[in-house]
This record gives sequence, C-alpha cells and structure tokens, in this order.
Amino acid sequence: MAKILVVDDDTDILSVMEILLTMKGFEVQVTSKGENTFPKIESFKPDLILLDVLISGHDGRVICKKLKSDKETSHIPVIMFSAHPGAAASIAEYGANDFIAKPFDVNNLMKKVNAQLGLNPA
Amino acid sequence: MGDFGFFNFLLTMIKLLEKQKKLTSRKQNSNFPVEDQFKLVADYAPMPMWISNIYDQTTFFNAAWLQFRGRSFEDEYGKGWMKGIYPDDLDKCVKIYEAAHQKQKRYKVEYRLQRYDGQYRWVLENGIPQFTPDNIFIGFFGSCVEIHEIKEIEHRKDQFIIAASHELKTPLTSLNIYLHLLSGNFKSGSQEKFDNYISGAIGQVNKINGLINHLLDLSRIQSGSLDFECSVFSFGALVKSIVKKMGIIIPSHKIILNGKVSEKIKGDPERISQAIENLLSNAAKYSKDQDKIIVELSEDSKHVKVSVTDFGIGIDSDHLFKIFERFYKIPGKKEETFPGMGIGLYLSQQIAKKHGGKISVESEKDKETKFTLKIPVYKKAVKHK
Repeated sequence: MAKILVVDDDTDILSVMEILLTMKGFEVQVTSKGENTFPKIESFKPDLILLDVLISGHDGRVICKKLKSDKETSHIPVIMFSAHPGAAASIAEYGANDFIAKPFDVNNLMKKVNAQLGLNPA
Repeated sequence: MGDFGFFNFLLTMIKLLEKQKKLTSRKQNSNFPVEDQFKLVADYAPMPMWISNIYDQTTFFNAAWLQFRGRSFEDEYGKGWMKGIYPDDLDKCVKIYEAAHQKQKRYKVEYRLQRYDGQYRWVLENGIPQFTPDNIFIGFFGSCVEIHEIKEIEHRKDQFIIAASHELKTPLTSLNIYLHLLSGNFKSGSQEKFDNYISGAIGQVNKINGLINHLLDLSRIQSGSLDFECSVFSFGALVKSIVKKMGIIIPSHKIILNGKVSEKIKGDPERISQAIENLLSNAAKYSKDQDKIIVELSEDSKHVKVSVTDFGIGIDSDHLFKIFERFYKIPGKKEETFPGMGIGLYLSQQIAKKHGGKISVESEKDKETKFTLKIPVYKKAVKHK
C-alpha cells in the first residue's frame, strides 16, 4: 500500500483528504504544520508528498526545495497544490514534480497521484 | 489648489509664455528671456519639474525637484537624475522617453523615483514637447506628481482580490471533495459516512457564506449601512460565551479567561462578538506553534475592556498602526504565508468605533501580541427632579 503525506495548514482540507485518499486505498498521514514535514517524512517514509504552497508561517516551495536537495528525500515525488492564483508559475524552480490548483477535480488529482506513483488508475 | 490644479495653472502659464515668446521674437526687445521667466515660475511650483533639450539631456530642475531628490543640480544634470529611477522601472522609462523624443509627442509615465531619504516613491510624470515659434523641436518640459499613496491602495486592492479568491477557493476545495465522496457513497456506503460527508459539506458552505458576509460587511461599513441591533447587556457574560464557543472552534489552543467585569454596555452583541471572535481567530492563526491564548477582562468607571494575548510571531513596530487599515496585510516572507483577506481588523476596529470604543495593540516582532477592545460602560440617563 503506497503511503502519502499531506501537508496543508487548512485542517478541513486535511480531514477530507485523509478520508478520500484512504478510501482510494492509500496509507495516509497529514500535518497542518510546515515544521512537522521533515519529522513526518522520517517516521512515516511516504512514497508521495502532497504539499500546500502557503502553510501559515512556512513556504511550501522552500520546504520542497529542501526536500529535493537532500539525498535522503530527493527521490520522493512532490505534488504541490494551492488556491493562490499564479502559484503554478512560481513553483518551477523549487523542484516539485507536479502542481494542481485548488479547488481541484478529484479525478484529476488521482490521475496525478497515480502517475507519480507509477500506478495504474483503479 | 491641488497638485493637478497647479499643473493646469502651469500649462496655462506656458501657453501664455509661448504667446509672449512669439511676440518678443517679433519685436526682438526682450531683456528677460521667456525660458528664465518660466524657470522663475517653476521654482515656486510645489511639484518637481524639469526641462530637457533635444539630446534628452535635462538642463533645468526646479527647487521642488532638487528638494525631493535631495541632490544638487550638478548631480542631476543631463542624465544624472536617472540614477534615481527604481532599477525595475528604468527600461520602461527609457523606452517611453525615446519614443516621445522621436515622435516629439506628449507622454505620461509612472515610475518609482528615489527621494532624499532613500525611499522610492511612485510618481506620475507628464512630458510636453516644446517648440520654437518656427515650430522647431527644442526638447521637453516635464512635471512629476507623487502618486505613491494611490499606487499603494491600488496594490493593496489587487492583493486583496488575490487573497479573497484564495480564501474562497480553500473551502470550495473541501466542499468539492465532500461532494465527490457523497456521489461515490450513493452506490455503496453507510448512513454514518453519508451523514459525515453531508455535515462536512454544509460546514464548508457555511465557511464560504461567512467569507461572503465579511465582504458584504466591508462594503456596508464603507457606505455606512452596516446594521446594528442595539440592546443593553452584560459584557462579561458575552465574553464568557465567546470564549466557550471559540474554544470548540479553535481546538489547537487553550483559551484562558482571567478577570471579570460587572458593568453593562449598550450595543449590538452580534457585532461585538464578531470583533472579539476575529481577535481570537487571529491570535490562533499567528501563533500556530503555541497552544494558549489569554483573554483578560477589566473595567474602570468609564470603560469595559477585553484583551486577547497570543505568543506567536508578533508584529514589527513599523506595521502596528497600519494593521487596522483596509486591505493591509503585513509584508514579509513568513507573514505572507498566512491566509486572510486583510479586512478582519479593519472591520473589528470600525465595529468598536461605532460603539464609541477602540481596539489598540501592543506587540513586537517575535514577541507576544496583545489586542485590547475598549467599550464605554452603559450609564442610565439620570432623571432630574
């Protein structure tokens, strides 16, 4: 079972994403605090990270860059997401594997998740 | 007379001087050249002004220009003044100047110009081509009007639209997922799951409704049509009920209530709750790494007070007095990662003022932040015998 870590400061989104991804057959952990990203990665060892761009006090793009420049974590695919207009254009240089704008179509999100994990859609 | 009024006055002066120039050129008897007369007038103008020649070299700056720039005429002469243009605006300015010179046509350009204190200020520059009586192009006359405040408001409004769309899209994201889950649950799902998804979806709809109401309140308070349903009530009891309610909404923080008040106030309890709830939401939002918020009640003979203290990121003193302004969001790498539309404190302060009260703030960057709402106590009118 593939493991997904979701990082977003909106706890409502985290709750519903946890339900959705669990229902889709993934093992899921979530955090609303940017500073918890690295400890969570170390303990949970996710196969994919869904990372918000603005995380109340932390810039998701900076977290992504740090992840991608660390040998231990650089292999983990990162899909960034944001409701901020123009966020897509600003993430390119931070090394994210993909981006999806909020509010997203769930089927589209699942396509991107499966593509990063090399899975065939259910 | 405002800056624009003065600008029109100067244009009229120039036209008059040009007429005079034609006359004096015919008579050839002027002992005080028209350009010197213009320079004399320009030196009294409150706005920065200049004259350039056909080689686009600036050969005159009025007193207001030199004062604004805090540099000498020699420093500014020719193209020296262009060192004051904000680097990002330079290319745009050069292109406009070159085109205007080539076509010998009027132009307008907005750019940031460095002031005597090092600050870059937005200015609107008007350039008008000048010709001899024989219609030979001799350069440009120009003036600058400072539009910094207007540009700042424009920028804040743009940022507000971005922030508002971000705020509205966030609950829409959750709502969308709940609807997706519900559509899947119709076929094979339990009643409990169904109820959970429905309640989740309704929660997000309420969130969107709350945001829209905030936007409407902003518009209503601007037009003076925000409704207040006033009654006399216990301030202490109201604050206690808010603390209880917000304790459920903000489970991440323990809200500690200290002190008490016995005086009543007259006002709209819904609106006062809105202001206090906003202070509590902000306290939680900007102290994500902390787990407590202190609410303190106090009173004197004239006022009741409630203060909300958090132990979060704090507010730099440069921004303390701006945070109650409409659309103001504290700039900064860390600050800009927090959600919000930049209207909550503005609305709260307006609500306080409508009740004859005020919200004040004490904070420093990376230190605790304390907001205090002060409302006058209700005094029964004393009937004289």
